[in-house]
Amino acid sequence: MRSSATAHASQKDCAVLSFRTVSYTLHQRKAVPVVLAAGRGSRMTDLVSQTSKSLLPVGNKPMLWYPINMLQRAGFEEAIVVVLSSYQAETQKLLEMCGVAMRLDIVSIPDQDYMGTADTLRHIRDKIKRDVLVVSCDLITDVSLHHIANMFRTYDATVTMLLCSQPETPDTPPAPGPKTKKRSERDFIGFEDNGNRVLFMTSEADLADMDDDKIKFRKSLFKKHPNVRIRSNLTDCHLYLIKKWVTNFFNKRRVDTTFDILSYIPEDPMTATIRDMSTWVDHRGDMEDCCHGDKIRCYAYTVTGSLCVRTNTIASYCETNKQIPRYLATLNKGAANIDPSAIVKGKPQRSIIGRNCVIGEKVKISNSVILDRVQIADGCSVQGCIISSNAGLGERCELKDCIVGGAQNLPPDSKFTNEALVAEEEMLEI
Amino acid sequence: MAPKSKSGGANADLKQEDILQAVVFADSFDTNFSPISDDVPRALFPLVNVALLDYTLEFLCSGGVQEVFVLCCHQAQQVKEHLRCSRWNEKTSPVNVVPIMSEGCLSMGDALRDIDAKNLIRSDFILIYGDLVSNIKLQSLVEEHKQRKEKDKSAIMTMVFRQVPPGHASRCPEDDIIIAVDNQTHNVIHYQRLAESKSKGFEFPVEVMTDHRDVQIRYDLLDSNISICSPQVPQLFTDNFDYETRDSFVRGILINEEIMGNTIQMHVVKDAYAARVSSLQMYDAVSQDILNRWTFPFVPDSCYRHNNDSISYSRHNIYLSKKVTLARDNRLVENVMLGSGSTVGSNSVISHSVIGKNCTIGNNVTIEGSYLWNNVTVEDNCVLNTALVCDNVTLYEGVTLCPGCVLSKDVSVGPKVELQSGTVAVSSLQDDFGDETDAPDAGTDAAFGSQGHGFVYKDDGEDSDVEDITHRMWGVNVETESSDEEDSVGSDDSDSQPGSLPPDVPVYYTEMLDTIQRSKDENISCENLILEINSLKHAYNISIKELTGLVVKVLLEQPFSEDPSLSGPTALIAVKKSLTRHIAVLRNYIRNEESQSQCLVAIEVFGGSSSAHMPLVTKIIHFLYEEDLLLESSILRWYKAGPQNLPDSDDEDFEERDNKHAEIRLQVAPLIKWLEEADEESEDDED
Repeated sequence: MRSSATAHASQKDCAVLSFRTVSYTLHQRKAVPVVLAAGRGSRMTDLVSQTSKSLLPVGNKPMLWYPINMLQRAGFEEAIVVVLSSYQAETQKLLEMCGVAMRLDIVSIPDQDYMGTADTLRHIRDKIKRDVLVVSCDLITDVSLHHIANMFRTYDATVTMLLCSQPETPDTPPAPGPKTKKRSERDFIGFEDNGNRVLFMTSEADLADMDDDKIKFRKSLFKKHPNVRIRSNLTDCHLYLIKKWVTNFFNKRRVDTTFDILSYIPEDPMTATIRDMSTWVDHRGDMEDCCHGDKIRCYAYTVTGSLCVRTNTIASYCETNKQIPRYLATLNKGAANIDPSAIVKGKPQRSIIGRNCVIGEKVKISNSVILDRVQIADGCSVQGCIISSNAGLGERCELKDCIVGGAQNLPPDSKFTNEALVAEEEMLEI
Repeated sequence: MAPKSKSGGANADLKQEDILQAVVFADSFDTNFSPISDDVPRALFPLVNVALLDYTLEFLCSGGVQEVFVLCCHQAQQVKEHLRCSRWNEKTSPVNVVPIMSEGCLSMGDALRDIDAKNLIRSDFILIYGDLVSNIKLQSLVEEHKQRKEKDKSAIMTMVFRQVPPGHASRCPEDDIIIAVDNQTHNVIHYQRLAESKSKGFEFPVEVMTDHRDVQIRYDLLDSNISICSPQVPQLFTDNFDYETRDSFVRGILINEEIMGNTIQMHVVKDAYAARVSSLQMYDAVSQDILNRWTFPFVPDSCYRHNNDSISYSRHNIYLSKKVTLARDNRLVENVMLGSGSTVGSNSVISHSVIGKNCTIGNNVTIEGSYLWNNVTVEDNCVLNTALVCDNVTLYEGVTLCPGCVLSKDVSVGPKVELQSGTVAVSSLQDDFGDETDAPDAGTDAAFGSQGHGFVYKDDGEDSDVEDITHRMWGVNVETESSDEEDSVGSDDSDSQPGSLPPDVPVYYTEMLDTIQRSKDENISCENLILEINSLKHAYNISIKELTGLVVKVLLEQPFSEDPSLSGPTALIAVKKSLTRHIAVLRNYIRNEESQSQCLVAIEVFGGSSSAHMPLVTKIIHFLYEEDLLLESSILRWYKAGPQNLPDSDDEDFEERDNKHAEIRLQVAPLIKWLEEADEESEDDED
């Protein structure tokens, strides 16, 4: 039964260019999911001094749990999780506590090496036998993965990525901590019109470096794609479905020419035949082959309206924490704004309170995230703050839009607004 | 009393508001059609036997325009006369066509300033050129423009484009435009005419991307040059006296968008036709489109009003006027239009062509893709391919027009003459003052035959460069375009890896072969030849290592390229001659052991390339040894070396390679033996 299912799958595989939307679940096709959880949290340094970014709690669950849960819902049975070696044990423990049913292969990479996505894939190349689904640990979304998988197969894409459209309101609520100049991290993504094919991608930072305020494009780009749509209101969610051969390509460290990369593309004769026979073309106006004979093609699935966030900045971390109860409710998980083990006397509003916290009387807490084992004494007022694990607030403290670092103890009657209250040596690090 | 008159005035205003106005330029303000357009303004060119201007006016009329101002500049009287005699001047005409004489205008900007000065525009109006053929539904566009303007006062102009993918026949290189549009507001952000930009790729200001969240960049549009303008537009032209063309106007508006707050919108038409006859190529493309009925309802059989005769339409797009005389056995293949009073003789073949009124076509004539205006006589056995023949031209017997010929008014050619591709002929030369030269020795050009009368047209020196003329030559365009394509592909490659151009060995090789051939023909000295080879080396990015081998190869093969049948002793003599002549060149390149081995490898390749070359190998090596170019040690090392992948033959199968290797070694064996013996002898001598 099982073998017939795979045979069936490979047949379908050949028929990718007949452009039928074939929807069967991902695990039949057996892509390998890889969760990248070794990020440093470079955009939220005040929070990650004591812990790994992937273990920061969001709605009282480690951030990492969300992508793993997403994979589980999509029907995956096993996944590779890449973490920094010093957090390997902790990750394992925390995930077990959350109750993950999948088989997880937790791979560690040395703390000191900085590894990008490609480096990481190269690091774990022996484990990759099939197409790879790369997910970042900070992605929280309710998008169904089969949309991406379908696109991957229908267009015989090399890479398929997930993009989400940003809300039109550029004014995000004030983030806790000192006010910093908002760094612009927009990506400019060029699409083929009325299509999902991505033609180019460049970041705002790269554009700012242009010498003479001009962007140059090759003529051939517009000859092939005379109608290009450039959008800068999309966020790259760091979820990629990548063909197996690409990882083979990564494994060869030296990349010389474009010819080189082409030699890695396996051409399935059946696919080629079907493509030749098919009357379908993706463009009009000339007699070129489908997709102009391009062998490397990137497509993107764009989400609108669903929850799809990356918790990679302090602002998005706060925002996600506020929205997460609703999200958890849709998954039929108990929305635990306040962990049962916490002792809370007041009535926190729109806040998350972690394990074993002790919160005194007449404490006002609103729009805040309180991590584990935090002690807040009587009469404090906490608004829009993030208070890290093991921190303690003296009596009658008033904090507004602050970040309190791990194990920081604030004396009674402290008043702070828009500050990052972290240990001195960490300050220096920044 | 006063209030009454006021209300009356307001009523009158309201009434006037309802009139849709249009401004038509009966001049294109360029010289794309010279010399034909010297006598006839472009707007009056017959296009499938109807004057261009009439297509434009029909289009406006069908779009509900009630008042049209026709700006006459060049040859204004002719345009005025045409309008006076046309159906637009009849009482039944639905449109009020007003010719405006402004002969002093040299640009579209001048003309619009003239309009503004005369204060003719009362509301939104349509601005087009008198060479437009279109069947776009104007009403909805004007409606849209008005709605947009209600919402946003700053929207002063709507540009209308037709979607035409790159590579389409009706795209001409001059009209290549690239436009960036904001997807949310539909405002034009960037407008660029590619013919003007010098760079190979496309360039945009960074702001196009950074200031807009959703931008569409379109290269699949054909500028129909229809613009729906607000009444402010002529005023803006007056305020900014540097606006010459619509392009400069658009650019000015876009640059000053923030200051003046004016925006330009665009509208893309997908299912209607619009094209300007802006060049010969477009004349051809639009004519064919009309014959193919893309411009319906503006097709020959329904434009009878302008021809004053009825035209029948039959299978394969054959349009015949009622008064046509056809011999029994001629063939009208497809897409043919014959004007009234024309005669076609027997056994003639016509396809994809338009024949004007009162033309006479003889027997056995072939006409393909050509346009004959009125009163043209083509005698027997002529062949016309892709030619434009103006009024009153006579082609005597047996004339052949190669593709791209343009014969303007009153020229006659023949008999039995072939005009080269791209010939442009005029009936009289004009000197710098515009007067006809009547010097007796400036008689007709001999190329036009014994009874012919005409001159080859040359553009007045300064403002014409070679490029200009090639664009104008249509019919040969296909060729130039494809070479353009190659160029751009080449440049793409260089874009992808800046600094490391891929060496272009085969091209370099042929180039060098030519150079050496030329040096022989013109007796160029070896030093100069070395200089040339070196400069070629840089041009084609050839390394010095490859160079030695190539030079040797070229010198060896040059005699064979001259005379491929060389063989045996004659071949040897020829090769030796080539080598002796260029011995200095060889000395320059063969200097050290490495270059010697390069040289030997090249000789080996040469020997292996043909059986005729094989016996020469030994002699060549011997000759070079005698000349002290090759040292014994190098030859011996080469002889002993095993088969290796030769640079030119890495795809060959190994067996064949090994065979050749062995064969050459066999050939050279006696020489090697001799060398070794000589070596021993000399050693003996030393002892």
